[in-house]
Amino acid sequence: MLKYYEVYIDKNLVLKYLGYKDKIPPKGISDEVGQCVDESYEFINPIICFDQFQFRLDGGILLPDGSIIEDGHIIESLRRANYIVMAVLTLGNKIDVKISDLFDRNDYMEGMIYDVIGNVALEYLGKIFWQDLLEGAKKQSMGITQSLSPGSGGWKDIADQRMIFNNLDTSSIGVELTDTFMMKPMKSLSVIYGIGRDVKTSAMDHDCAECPLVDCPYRKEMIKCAD
Amino acid sequence: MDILQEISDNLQKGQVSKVGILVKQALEDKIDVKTILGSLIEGMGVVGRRFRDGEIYVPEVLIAARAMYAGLDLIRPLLVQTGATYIGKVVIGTVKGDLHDIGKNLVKMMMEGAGFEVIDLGRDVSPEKFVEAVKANQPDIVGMSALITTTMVNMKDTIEALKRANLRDKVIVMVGGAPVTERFAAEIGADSYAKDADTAVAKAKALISNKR
Repeated sequence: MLKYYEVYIDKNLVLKYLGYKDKIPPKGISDEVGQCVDESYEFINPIICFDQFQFRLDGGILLPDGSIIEDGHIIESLRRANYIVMAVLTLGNKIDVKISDLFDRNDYMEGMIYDVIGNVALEYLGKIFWQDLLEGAKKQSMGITQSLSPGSGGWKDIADQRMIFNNLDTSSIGVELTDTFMMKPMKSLSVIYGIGRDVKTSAMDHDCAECPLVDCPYRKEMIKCAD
Repeated sequence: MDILQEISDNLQKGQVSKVGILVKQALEDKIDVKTILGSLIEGMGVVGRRFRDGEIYVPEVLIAARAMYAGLDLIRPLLVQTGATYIGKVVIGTVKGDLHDIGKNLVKMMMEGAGFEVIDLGRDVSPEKFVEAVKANQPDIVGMSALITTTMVNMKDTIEALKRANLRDKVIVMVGGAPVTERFAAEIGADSYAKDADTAVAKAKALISNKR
């Protein structure tokens, strides 16, 4: 299944991720970020390829295609789910090209701004997709886990991305996984969510508190799980 | 005020057009091109120190870099013509399989700002391409970057390829990137690890100095 969304890019969040957490940025920088944000929408084409899958607990999370997720943290996160949703989210290739062009022209400032804009847009896309899934889950009196991505947070093995790509036709959204488990276009994300009657819904789609990257510039305050 | 000091001061403020005008003026005044380069390096040095001390953030460094390139682009052809030497030559790239290059780009920018000549091989660079670049350019330093654990192993492959080509002893190998550590650098036989662009420049300068 495919789903198209529009994203909102919060200029203040871009500035925050550029380092201005506790300090007001110089006006010139704030203005330039604002202009880049305004112009960035033409380089962003958000689209999601996803589907839902049944699974069995059998030495891990046994998927219909026979592959097994063996990561202990993920097994624990999904074991109470009735089914899972696998998804690949992307902003498309245009923003990658834009960022590369800027760095190639030695415009490091705008290159960096656009890179952060891409991250903010992807984060927003993940959030609104999760909220859509949450609404659907609520109608079935179910809860939803936070987003789980291979190689991120508690899910250690980035190679597990292959399972997501094996189960979705991502060629329809132009996303491919390289031999080294990187996605092209770069501003893409592969995720799994667990949905079920006994699943506690997290307060947000992603909880930075569970991620070991304590120095991550995108890290947010710890949040509590909503019972 | 001395025009060289003006170049440095305006670079620090990120005044792109003013730096360009002042560098053109300095060239018209027949100021030695290497001396002009020195004023750009001096300005970026101050910016680097202020960043290290937490006075300014990355965007302010990048604004200053934009001003630096406004000057550097004007004098670069003359540096080649006059044979003026850089403080060292660096071949840099993101290793095979890795498409992330922002960290590598920032190191390149800071290296150029410190007076190094940088040959950027881009991203997804194979060991063979690193070897070819070393043969062709005879750099002092080979810099490798990787952002994920699945690609950082290719740093070792590149070092092995340099050994096979009898080039390993001729270059200093520096590595960096999010998953890379001092210990990993030592394990794969790199000479140095840098946790960020600023540290990379400081270590590169020290290593070059020791080498000579």
